[in-house]
Amino acid sequence: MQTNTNKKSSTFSDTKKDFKIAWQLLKDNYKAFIGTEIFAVLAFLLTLFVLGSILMIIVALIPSISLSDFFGQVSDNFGISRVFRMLIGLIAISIFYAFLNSQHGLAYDIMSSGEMFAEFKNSFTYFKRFWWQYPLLSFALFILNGFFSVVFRMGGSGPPIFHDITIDFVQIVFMIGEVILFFIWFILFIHAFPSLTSQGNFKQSYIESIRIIKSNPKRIISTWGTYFLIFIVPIITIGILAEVYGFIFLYVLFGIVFILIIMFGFPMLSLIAHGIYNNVEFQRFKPESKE
Amino acid sequence: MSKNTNINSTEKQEIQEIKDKLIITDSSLVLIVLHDKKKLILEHLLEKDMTIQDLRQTIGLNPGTIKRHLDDLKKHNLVFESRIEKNDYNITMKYYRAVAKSFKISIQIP
Repeated sequence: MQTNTNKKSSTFSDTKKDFKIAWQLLKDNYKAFIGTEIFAVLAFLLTLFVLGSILMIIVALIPSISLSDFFGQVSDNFGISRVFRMLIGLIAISIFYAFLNSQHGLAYDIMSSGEMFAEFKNSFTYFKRFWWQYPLLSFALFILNGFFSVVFRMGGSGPPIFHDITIDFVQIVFMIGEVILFFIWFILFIHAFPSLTSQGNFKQSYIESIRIIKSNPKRIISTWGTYFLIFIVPIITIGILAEVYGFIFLYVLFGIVFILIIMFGFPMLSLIAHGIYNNVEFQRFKPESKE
Repeated sequence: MSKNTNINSTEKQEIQEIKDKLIITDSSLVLIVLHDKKKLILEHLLEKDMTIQDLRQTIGLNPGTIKRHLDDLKKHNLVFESRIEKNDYNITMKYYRAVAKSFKISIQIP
């Protein structure tokens, strides 16, 4: 009985420590993290602009193609519209994810390099090293949300709260189920990011991520459960309320919470994930030599 | 027993042992040692080893600036990485130390 109580308090104190240290490190290095996020958004917008400009040039040069071929609901031009929209979205979001997840590299600099600080310019080093791995890991992490969008919300392309659906009990149950399933998926694969950054191999990062949850389930559930309660559950709740009641202030609140998540939630995620990766006991792969 | 060593910028030997005194005879090294911030950093590393965070708290410089000066001092064999430790949260901490407990500049012309 005494042992159980100790274990519980130990798990909770580990979680408390994960958050406390991550927050402290974020405060000391916020410029590097915020800079990386701003750059990720700018890179995303710039990619859209560049691809849009290329499109304009194509339309101007080829008389048989018009803008409606690219953005129309139904394309008359061999499905070019659908392919183009998918391609433009894929390229822009991949660049965004590659830059955003360079924050895991910054977390590595702070916690594992020995220097104990991060600089914005180092994001580019990690972008260069993991330009395809980071987006792939992100797509794999959010694939479940995409699946729910397709299966349960025909025609919807994002979370339910952002679309014109009629909220009823069954849908709310589905949403809760989606959050729980996403949580399980999330804790299985989130440690692939610090693993990839530390040891450098894409396939091994997934294996290490699974090993981490297998060897330390209580701590992982406790820490990431707390993270979900702080950063994920509020925005989903506000989103549902905004959709149900339609008050403008709820949408404004949703926007504010969203910005706070971008500013604090993502950097905290990378720092917590790296902290857990460094602290838990599991069988590790040997790091690949860096160029 | 004082152990004095001469050093110039072309020497690439690994210095791990802390000398009592280092006599600098190379004019290019003089400029480095007398650089305001580098001198400040070096002064703090004469008696004990410190991390970049320790130095930041003590002298108030940006850690990136400290790192760049340390790299420069390291390149010229004036400081070295004395040890690497992990704290109770397994954060890796790299310690730096000056290669000598005091530095003396000695330039002779011609």
